[in-house]
Amino acid sequence: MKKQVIDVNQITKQVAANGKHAPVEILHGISLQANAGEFLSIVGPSGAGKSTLLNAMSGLSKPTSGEVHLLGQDPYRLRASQAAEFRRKQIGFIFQNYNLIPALPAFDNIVLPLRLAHKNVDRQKVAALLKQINFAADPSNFVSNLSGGEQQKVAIARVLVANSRIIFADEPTGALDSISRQIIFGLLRHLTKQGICIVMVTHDIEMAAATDKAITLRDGRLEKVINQPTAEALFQALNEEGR
Amino acid sequence: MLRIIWLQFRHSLKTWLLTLLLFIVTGFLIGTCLNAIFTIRDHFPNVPKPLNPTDVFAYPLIFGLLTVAIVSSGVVKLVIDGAKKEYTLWTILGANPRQLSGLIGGQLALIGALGSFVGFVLAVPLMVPLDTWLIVSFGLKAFFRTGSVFPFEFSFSACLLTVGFMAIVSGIAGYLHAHKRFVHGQNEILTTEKPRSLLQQLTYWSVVAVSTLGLVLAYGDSLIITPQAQRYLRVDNFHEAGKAYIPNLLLIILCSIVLFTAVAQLILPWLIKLWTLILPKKSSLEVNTAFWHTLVDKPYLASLISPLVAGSFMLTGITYIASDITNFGTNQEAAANTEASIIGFVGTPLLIILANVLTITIMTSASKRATLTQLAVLGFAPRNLIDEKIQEAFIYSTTFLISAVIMNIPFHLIVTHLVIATHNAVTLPWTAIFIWPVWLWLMMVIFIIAVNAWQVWRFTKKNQLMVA
Repeated sequence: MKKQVIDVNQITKQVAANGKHAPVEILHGISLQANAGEFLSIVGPSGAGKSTLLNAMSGLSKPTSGEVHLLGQDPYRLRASQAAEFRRKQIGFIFQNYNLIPALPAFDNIVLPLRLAHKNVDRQKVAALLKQINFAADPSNFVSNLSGGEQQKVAIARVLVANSRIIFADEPTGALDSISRQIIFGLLRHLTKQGICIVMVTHDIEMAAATDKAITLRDGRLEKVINQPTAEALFQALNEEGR
Repeated sequence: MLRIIWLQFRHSLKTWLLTLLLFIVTGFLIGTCLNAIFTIRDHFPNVPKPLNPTDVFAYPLIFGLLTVAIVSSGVVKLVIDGAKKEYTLWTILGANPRQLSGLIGGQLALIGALGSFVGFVLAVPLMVPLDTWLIVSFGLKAFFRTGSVFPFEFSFSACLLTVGFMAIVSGIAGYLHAHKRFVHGQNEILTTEKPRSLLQQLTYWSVVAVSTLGLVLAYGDSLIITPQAQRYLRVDNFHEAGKAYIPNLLLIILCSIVLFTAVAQLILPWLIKLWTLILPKKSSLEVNTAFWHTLVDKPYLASLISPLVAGSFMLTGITYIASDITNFGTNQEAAANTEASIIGFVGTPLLIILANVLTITIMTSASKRATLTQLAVLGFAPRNLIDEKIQEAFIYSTTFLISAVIMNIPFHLIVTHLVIATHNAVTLPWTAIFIWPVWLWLMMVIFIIAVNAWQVWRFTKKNQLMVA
């Protein structure tokens, strides 16, 4: 039985509206769980609250009510320095774009979590890791000189170097061509075999169908949880909700 | 960490270079003072203490460093806001508030060191005439009695100390200002407008309460004849009786500045809305646009106007104290007394405040390119854009003028009351409440128009929409 690493319990999220209007509720009482080594996808139409849910789950945006536990910890109860350490050591983030610090070369982006933790950097280990993920570019290149696919590989290398146990990915392949998309998804899939839990927001039904569990979201509500989803099942689920 | 600071500084160099003026001016002033102190030490080691002009240079040095430490908060805010996505990403990737603050502080130390070095080098050809003028202004003409002139000396130690002091002060100030911004809102990392924590709110309202109380007490105490003043009045020592109120007046200056700075973001938008009722907002496109532009960025509004109001009030306060309270001689001596006090205590901070106004105007102008593009797309011709910028400059400057004059009125009244109550002669007429605000208003208008007009000109040259 795999260890539960994510426990989200009845979270809601409200945002303040301007002027005299009441706050708007974006997420309505969402609960979900994920285990180590599980690949969970979150799908839904634009404006469904997918990114908001991801941000609330990952400790970036405190829910208005409800609880979040990551690896047994509530990230919103930690002090600023503890939360930063938690993010460095346990959680990895991969976004669609603007993933990497533009001021730093690729190598420094990869080892950033180690430097922030004042740990020694083993250059040979990093080089071996880059070879493992088929990173072809020069690690001393700055981010702006890398292709989209290479940038995502740097982001993946960063989470590997930090030994993150959970990765939150928001449209990680959204800005890539089809070949790069397959390569990056393949790398993410491989990470789950190492016991890393991945939560991925995606518009891509085919990609979601290749994950272990898919949850469908509409208007801030969790509509369905589909284990071992297929593209047809997801398409049907999203269409049913649309009626 | 040092490598990361250097890489981030290099990446953000264009932004940091926009802040250079502030540090060049500060380096110029601090360097002049330090060089003079070293020159006096090396060439006039045996000058008697009453004639030793070292203090003439020590006060501007200390006040200058304090001023740059305070006003650099505006620069730090603009730098963080300009790169908020990057600093949000740093936070997401695990940088804690101390590391982020160190990142900002380290970069500010670098630009402070660079700017101060340039300022020191620029000051070198002007050091002798400036030093001589300062010594004479402070009434120490006797220092030159022996016929000697102030020698030219390039002090390498003074240069190193200037760069060192600036790097340390800028670095620490940058760290502290940045820490205030990064330490809260860790549960809303992606939100750039962080709500104030309970501690920050308590601190804020405590500052408002204490400064208001201090103001009320100081004004109240100045309305009565204190026991100390009574003792002097009994023996007909009217001048000393007047001077007994100097601590009250200095407290009024301090509390007024602190209170205004604290409430500026709250009251300035209301002041703008009130006085611009007389402007043709409905009939003039440029006036209307300028009006909304001045209201939309409240932190910029406050960081532009607050330091100038503080500088204006300090100047007015020192002028009143030196002319009406400590003056006991001929008009010429009174003028000299006032001039020395202003130069010694307010001159350096004021020049740094003016450099800060120019710096944050340059930085804000550069970041408003998107607004210029938007206005151009909507149909603003180059002359409309420049006219809009002129209106903005007018609104900002006049809001400053009104704030500064309003602050001066009760101070004028209380000084006049004190002077009459202690049987002294009133030197300054009521129009003195306008002198410094008007001068600074003029400089502000010119500065802001110059910077913004240049930005519009650059934008117009590059923008293909603006075909003649």
